[in-house]
Amino acid sequence: MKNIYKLLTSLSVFMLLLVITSCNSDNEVEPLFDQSINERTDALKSEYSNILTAPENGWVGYYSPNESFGFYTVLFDFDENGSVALKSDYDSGSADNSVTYRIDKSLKIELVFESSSVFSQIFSLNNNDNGGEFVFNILSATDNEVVLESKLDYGSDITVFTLRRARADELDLAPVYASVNNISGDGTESVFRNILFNDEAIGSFSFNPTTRYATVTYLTDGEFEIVSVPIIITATGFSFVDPLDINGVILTSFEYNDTENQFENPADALKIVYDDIPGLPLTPYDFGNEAGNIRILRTNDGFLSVDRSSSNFINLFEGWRSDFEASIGLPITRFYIRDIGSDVAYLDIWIPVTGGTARAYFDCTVDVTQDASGNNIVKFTFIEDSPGNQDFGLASFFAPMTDFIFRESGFYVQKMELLNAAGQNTLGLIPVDDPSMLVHWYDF
Amino acid sequence: MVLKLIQDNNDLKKFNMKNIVKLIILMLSVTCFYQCQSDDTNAQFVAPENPDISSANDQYLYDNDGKSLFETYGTATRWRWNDNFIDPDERATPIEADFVIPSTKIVEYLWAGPYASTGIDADAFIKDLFPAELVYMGSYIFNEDGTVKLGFAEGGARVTLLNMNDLDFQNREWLTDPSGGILATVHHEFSHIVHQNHDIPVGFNTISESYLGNGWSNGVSRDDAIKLGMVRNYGTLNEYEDFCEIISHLLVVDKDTFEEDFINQEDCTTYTDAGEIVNCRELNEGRQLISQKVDLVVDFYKNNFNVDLLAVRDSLQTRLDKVIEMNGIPE
Repeated sequence: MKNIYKLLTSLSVFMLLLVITSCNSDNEVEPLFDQSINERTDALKSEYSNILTAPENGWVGYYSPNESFGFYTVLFDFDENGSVALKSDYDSGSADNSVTYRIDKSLKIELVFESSSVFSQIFSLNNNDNGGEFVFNILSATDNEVVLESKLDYGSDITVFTLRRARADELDLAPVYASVNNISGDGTESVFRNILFNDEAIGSFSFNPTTRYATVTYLTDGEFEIVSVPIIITATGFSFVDPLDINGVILTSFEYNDTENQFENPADALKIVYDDIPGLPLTPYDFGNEAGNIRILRTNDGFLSVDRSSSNFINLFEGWRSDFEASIGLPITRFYIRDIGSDVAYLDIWIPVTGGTARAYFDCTVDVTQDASGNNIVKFTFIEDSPGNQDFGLASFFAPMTDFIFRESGFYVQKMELLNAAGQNTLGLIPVDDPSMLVHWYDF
Repeated sequence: MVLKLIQDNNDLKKFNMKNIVKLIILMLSVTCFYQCQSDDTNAQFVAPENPDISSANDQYLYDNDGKSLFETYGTATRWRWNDNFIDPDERATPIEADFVIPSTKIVEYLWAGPYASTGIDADAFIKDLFPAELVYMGSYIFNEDGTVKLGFAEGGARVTLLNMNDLDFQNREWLTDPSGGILATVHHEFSHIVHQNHDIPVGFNTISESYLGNGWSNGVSRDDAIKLGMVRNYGTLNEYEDFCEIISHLLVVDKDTFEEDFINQEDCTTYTDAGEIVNCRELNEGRQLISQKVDLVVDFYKNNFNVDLLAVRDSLQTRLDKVIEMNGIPE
């Protein structure tokens, strides 16, 4: 019995010592760091703050919210009172402002832009589903470079955004706004924008100012290659984020030539120019044999397909409709070319009137030829004495569009995107004598 | 192992089991009650002695000659972005800094003000229940199921207001649209605080035969909701959303429209089509249910808090017209 008591007593003393020892804060364990985690965090935040506020001209970075977007130039001028002035070339600087920022700590040290800024505006696109960010983890910061990582991205497309010290000559973004406009074009130029190598067309070029993606089309072994890639726009031109290879010709960067309204890279013998003729064969559309009727897309709402008519044509067409309604008091709602495959085709123009629709008819012949590159060219010729014509004595009011259609030069024909999931065609007609006037139709 | 030791002992018959049990309990007690002591200051929250209110926004919110939300209601207003205020899988944007003070004026003039203006008890009611925390965000939260979160109340203490970057004093739809207007949202969310603290009126949840649960967003139209005795499809979710929707509609929708849409019985004899007649009668039956709920809610506020909700509605409507006319909040 005594042995049992002794055993239990000893065990009690041992456990008590064990507990007390485990709680002794004066143990001799050597700490890994000289400072507590809070002290180290504060020191790091202070260090980052000093780095961010140090440069006289602030910082500059090229920002893309996700892999489907090109890049925007963003300038930062952090002050020691927790404000940062943000300037960017997003929407020509419309989102520029000063906001408060915070260097904070969650899982990592983070940089938070606390109120609405250019970052949250880009973030808000597509109902906040644009892969954007306005909270960044600070991956590293030195006197000359700050590397930020999105805190709001999930999955594999995580934005990494690198800032460097801005130069004085980079602080004015107006030249970059102008560059964006130069690359986008104003809609009055030719729709044929060719990439020339040693003055020979090797591809065509287009640009989407919203996504800042450039689309380059070229031929390889007779097959069309269409490549969409992000670009960085600078004060003097633009550069591809990654060099683009067109059958061995490498595209890197271009400078804008204001006199010629073209982009150039003289060292590489490259140009991007507006031209009166297509540099590459147009996507073929077998006019007259694909479908019997076509209708101008923009007179019908509700299609998934976006109206791709050029600004110049839209101005002509809408101006004509507006003038017609102002003069006659009736609108024009539909514009067709029908019976294309038969001997006599006709323009069919719809004018709603009380109790129904008045339809103007202009009979014509349809001739399809080919240019030297094999592009189809269609010409509509008005049959003046055809008994089927019906203009209600208003020929002069229809003239802007009848003259446009019955032009001597005819139209290039280009197949365009499908209208809908059923695979219905759309096509472009581009006047040979005025390639700024692309008209977008669908067939049926 | 211990059991084996005891069994082998020759003195087992003499062993006093009670003493052993006492000793073991004593050992465990000493072990359990001994507390590790720490002087680590991180263990306690220490409020900052001098919070930074240097910005104009924070001065208006916290130190405004006794008139700020903090000084009046003890409300902390969060306008600087903080991830912690939404779920990790939700997406919203920060508010425009320039919209913080105008947004707060809306809160003061068109949320708290209509209550405070209708009597001492109503003033005490709003002071008592006004949320301890307001959060402003710039955009809506778009849910994966296609629905849109307009605002939310949490724990009877925090209300988060969304879509503040569309602030426009002259946009009646932004202000009052029952399916997304800011006033509909604040009065809806405040009603959540009311029932989270005082529950809903007895019998409210049995006036309508049933609620649709998560099926509320599955093609339920406003007419469908009215036929069930609710003023909006979201009210068909459950009795709590029904309660909040009725109050927000009662206060925010102008009186004539509210009565026309939700209370007055339509003359179904004007219809000749059988389907239209049935539809008219079903709507009228639903309006009777809504009317019962409105009466119950108005009585609930009057009897429990001495708050006249109809007077609050009248005050709000008068103030709303002024705001739209002036394109701003009267001083």
